[in-house]
Amino acid sequence: MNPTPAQLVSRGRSFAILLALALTFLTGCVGPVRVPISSDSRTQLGKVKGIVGLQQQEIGTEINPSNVSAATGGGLIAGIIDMSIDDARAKKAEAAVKPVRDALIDYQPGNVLAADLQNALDDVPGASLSHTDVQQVIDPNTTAEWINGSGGTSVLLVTLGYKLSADFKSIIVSAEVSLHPAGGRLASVTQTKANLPPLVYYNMFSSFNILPGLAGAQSRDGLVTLWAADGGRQAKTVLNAGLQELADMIAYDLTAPSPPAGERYETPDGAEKHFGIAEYGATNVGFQGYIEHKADGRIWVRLPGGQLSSFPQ
Amino acid sequence: MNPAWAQRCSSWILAASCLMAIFSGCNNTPQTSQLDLTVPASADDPSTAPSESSLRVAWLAIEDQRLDTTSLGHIGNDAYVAKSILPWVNQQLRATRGANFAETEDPAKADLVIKPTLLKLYIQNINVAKSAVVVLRLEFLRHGKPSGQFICRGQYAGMNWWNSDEEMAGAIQKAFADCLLNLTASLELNIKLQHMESSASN
Repeated sequence: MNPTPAQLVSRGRSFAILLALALTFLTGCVGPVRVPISSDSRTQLGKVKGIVGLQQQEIGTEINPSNVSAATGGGLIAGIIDMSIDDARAKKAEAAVKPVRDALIDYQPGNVLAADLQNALDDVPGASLSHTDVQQVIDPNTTAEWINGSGGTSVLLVTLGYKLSADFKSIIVSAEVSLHPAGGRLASVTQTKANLPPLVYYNMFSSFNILPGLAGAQSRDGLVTLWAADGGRQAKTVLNAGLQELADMIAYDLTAPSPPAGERYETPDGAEKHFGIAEYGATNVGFQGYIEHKADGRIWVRLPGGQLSSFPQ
Repeated sequence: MNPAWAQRCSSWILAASCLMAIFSGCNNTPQTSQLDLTVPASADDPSTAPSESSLRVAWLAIEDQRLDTTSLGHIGNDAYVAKSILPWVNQQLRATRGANFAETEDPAKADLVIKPTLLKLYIQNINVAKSAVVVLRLEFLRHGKPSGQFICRGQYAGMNWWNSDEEMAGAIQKAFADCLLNLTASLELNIKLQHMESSASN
């Protein structure tokens, strides 16, 4: 007998609850993402150069993934339906974004972030940058080759991502940041992450920025027109603000305190909790964090893993 | 356990097992693939054969303004690269045919000289789909003087079925074909406008 719509909804809910429980359980087991750096280590880095790495050549898009599988309790057919819906949504998003990409054709986010970093890190003892290069990440070995080939210079590596949100109302800029001491230095305190060379600092950042003056419901085409108008003025303004904020967050985080090694970032007494979804490149993280900094209508939220994300207040 | 539920669970487990079996063949280790984008030159299409009064178009050497001249982007953890893209792009541009224009080798004898710049050429994934993009800037020169420019964008998006090299190269080629279609349409329009202007002035 075929299940009734009410049964389908109930089954979907059960599946979603089970999935949420499993995720909650699993995230509780994971250690912090952030590797903090001590002030002692910072002062031993010697000369530091910055490298801004870009994987993408233009602003990215994203979609809201289809949920037919979750709503119907899974199954091969539902999975195929999901894939086909996601494919259609991706095609529409990629077609819609063209005017924004055209307007940003000469915009160089890597260079903007490099200049912002250079200024923001000037006041961070031991971590001010001698200069900052902007390079394309070609393959998984590229970043390790840059760091290993930097001779006697320590490297602050910032891998940048930027994209329009699925509803085209916001631009999200994100960065994965690591600090690698020059050959042999600080060997006793270095750690490893993924395929990166030994590092003394690691964290992930994101800045979520809404189209200025956005009021009422807007179609996607209407939003694209607003982003792209006047040579992409709004898109460039928002990107500049997001990149500046990323640089400021990185500078702040290099001196920010941390819980004892291996412990997650629990909400301190008196701190304001914040729930949301943070996006780092292609990864979306649902979280419950706490507000660590408020200024100029923005909040900086510390996630349980130590990542730092910024949102409008 | 209720037999109906037991049956549903077993079906679900079976489906999940099938999916796992299918996807266990997928290699999650990051890989770098060298793509071959070269394709045979397209045969002349008689429907777009240039007329005798066609505009003579000359192409200057293409400039590559990408941050890296080998990178073709990333799909998930996998990276794609290609060396010597420019000869392929050049070949494709010079093979462009229109009813009102034809290529000439000598810029001095050309009615229109085009300086192409490769701005973007990449593939990326959006969820289960792949997207390929090619962007060229074309600067027009008439009688040795700049007479405007045109950003030519080509794009292709489709389901990422197998993540194979052929699939990715095919996506880029389709994006480039889209770019060339836009280029041809723009050139034809440009030439018609020029003919109208010269008729009016006569």
